Amino acid sequence: MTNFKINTECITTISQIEFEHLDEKYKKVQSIGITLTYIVLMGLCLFLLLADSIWWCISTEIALAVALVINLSIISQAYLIKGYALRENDITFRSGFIFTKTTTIPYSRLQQVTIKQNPISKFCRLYTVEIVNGAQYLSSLNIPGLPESTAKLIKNLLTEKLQQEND
Amino acid sequence: MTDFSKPHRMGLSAFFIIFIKALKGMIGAVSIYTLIIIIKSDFIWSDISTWWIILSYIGIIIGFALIGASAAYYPFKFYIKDGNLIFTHGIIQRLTTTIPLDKIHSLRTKQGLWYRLLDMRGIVFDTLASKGAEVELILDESDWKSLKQLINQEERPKPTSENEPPPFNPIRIKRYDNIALLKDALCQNHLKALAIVAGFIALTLEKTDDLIKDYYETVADYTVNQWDKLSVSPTYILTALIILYAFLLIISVGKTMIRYYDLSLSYDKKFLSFSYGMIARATSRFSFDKICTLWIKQNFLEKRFKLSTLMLKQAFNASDMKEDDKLKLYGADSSEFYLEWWLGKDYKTTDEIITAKSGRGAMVHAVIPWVSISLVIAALLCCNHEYEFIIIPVLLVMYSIFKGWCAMQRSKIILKDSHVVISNGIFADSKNYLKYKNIEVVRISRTPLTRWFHRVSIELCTSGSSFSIKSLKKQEAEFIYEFILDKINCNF
Repeated sequence: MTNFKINTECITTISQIEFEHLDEKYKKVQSIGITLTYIVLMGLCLFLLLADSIWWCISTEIALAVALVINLSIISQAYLIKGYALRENDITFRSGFIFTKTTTIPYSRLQQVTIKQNPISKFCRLYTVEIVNGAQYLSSLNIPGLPESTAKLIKNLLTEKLQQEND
Repeated sequence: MTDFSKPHRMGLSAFFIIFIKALKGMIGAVSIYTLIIIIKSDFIWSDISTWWIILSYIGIIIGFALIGASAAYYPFKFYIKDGNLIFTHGIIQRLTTTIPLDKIHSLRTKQGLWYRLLDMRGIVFDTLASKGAEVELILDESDWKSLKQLINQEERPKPTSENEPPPFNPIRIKRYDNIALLKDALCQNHLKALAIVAGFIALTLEKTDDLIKDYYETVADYTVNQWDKLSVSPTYILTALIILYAFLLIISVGKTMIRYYDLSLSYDKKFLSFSYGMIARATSRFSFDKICTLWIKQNFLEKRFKLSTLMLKQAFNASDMKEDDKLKLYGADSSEFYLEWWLGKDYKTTDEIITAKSGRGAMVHAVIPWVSISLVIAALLCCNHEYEFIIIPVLLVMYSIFKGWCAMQRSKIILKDSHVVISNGIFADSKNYLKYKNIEVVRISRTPLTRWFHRVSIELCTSGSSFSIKSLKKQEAEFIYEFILDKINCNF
């Protein structure tokens, strides 16, 4: 059995990692996505509440509009937090605005890597890399807002690591 | 010993069981339709033609069940070749499923009433690759023993050279005491079930009361009067709660006894194979390297009587039934035996790297949902001017603070050289043992308060469990985070 002494100063902690930012266009993708969601919500409220009570309808629409403005205004702040880091043995993704979450998956736990696009990200020519592992929860990690070259680079790197683990 | 090297069908008794299953399925599918037909029709039961119709209908159902059973039974063949269990099945589309014997994650058998009458076993193989269970094999006792022997041979460590004998790996048997099982079943916390059922009954009574008021006024008056009488007297409520508690206790203990009666374990270095059950015997088999968490719980009663509740968890998607991915063991405290088997004999002496305890944030996490509920209740009570009941939300908050405090006291993570121990629980001590190699994902979460209190949460996920340790010191958490990742990579 090993009985090594660990020098805690030598360990690079997660707070010392420099995260790569997502593409600037990702802010646009998020803005479009959020706006569309709120438009649908506002439309639904209009449809459901207009016949019932006009004042309820107006106040709900105002509340939704305020929420939309707040959501849009925090996109830039949230963008600064979002980022990924590739290290020798693992991949880390940081997300969240109020509650920041940093998730790390060791390469040895990778099961599947996928590149995907939704209509909005396709319009902005951005990609999402989905990394699937075998965990019960947090079984997939999505890194959105990547340009094609970066997405392919990450995918190739992870696939190579996956291949190495299988060999 | 049965020769499994050539494709062969299951026995005729298996056909009978498949037929019974198909018949059950058919009856289930047409039962509502049949009921509607009977209610709507103007059958004259004394008329012989009515009986001919009914008999023909039953005949058609049996006929379809026979066709279904034949379609499932005749094309189905299985054999073992080159260490693979191979099934061929399907009529329209011929399918061949190959399961490497060493990839079988868990092996479960079932022996329901029909199986026991015919002395057969239903064997289900689960692999990690599929979310659902693999095909069920229905074999007689001798075939099952031969198959088990073959699988065991395949999974045992192979000799490194031809001349060297295989490593010695004897199978041992351990039997569990039914009295200890009963004692431990009684020691469990049944108050939670009481709270849920009593709450449900209270709500239902109110609803039923409304319905009765609407439709049957006389009965309603009687019910309301009775309920009013009951509600004004605390003795009645207490009596009702005691009766309900006794009823739930009997149900819960009875369920545990029926499920785990006569538990026996056969084990070697690589496998644990449990056999249990009073009415229907079931077996669960856990492979050494496929267990991802060992959970041990002891409340004060269990500690007093030297009992423990233990749970073996394996990958969540290893079986189709939610409860089959884990096995709970009640009875005399055997935690040391399982820990030694799974973590090694020196698990106690292994070096401790760090111990990190949760701070007050863990208490806040436990209190917040209750405070929110209490505020809503208080607001509703105030709106209805029922100020005399305001004590209820106050008591709820006080109870949640106490619960949160207990949770905070117990919440900690210990990193050892060979494994991780996560302690949690509210009124009982519960410990989760994980190996580094079973950890799949690590996450660190910060809240807006982190910048002032320097506390963060850590989440660890394995293929069959996930844990969140709240309010750890930031520096300790970051060290734990990196250390675990480092250990995961060292294991590969």
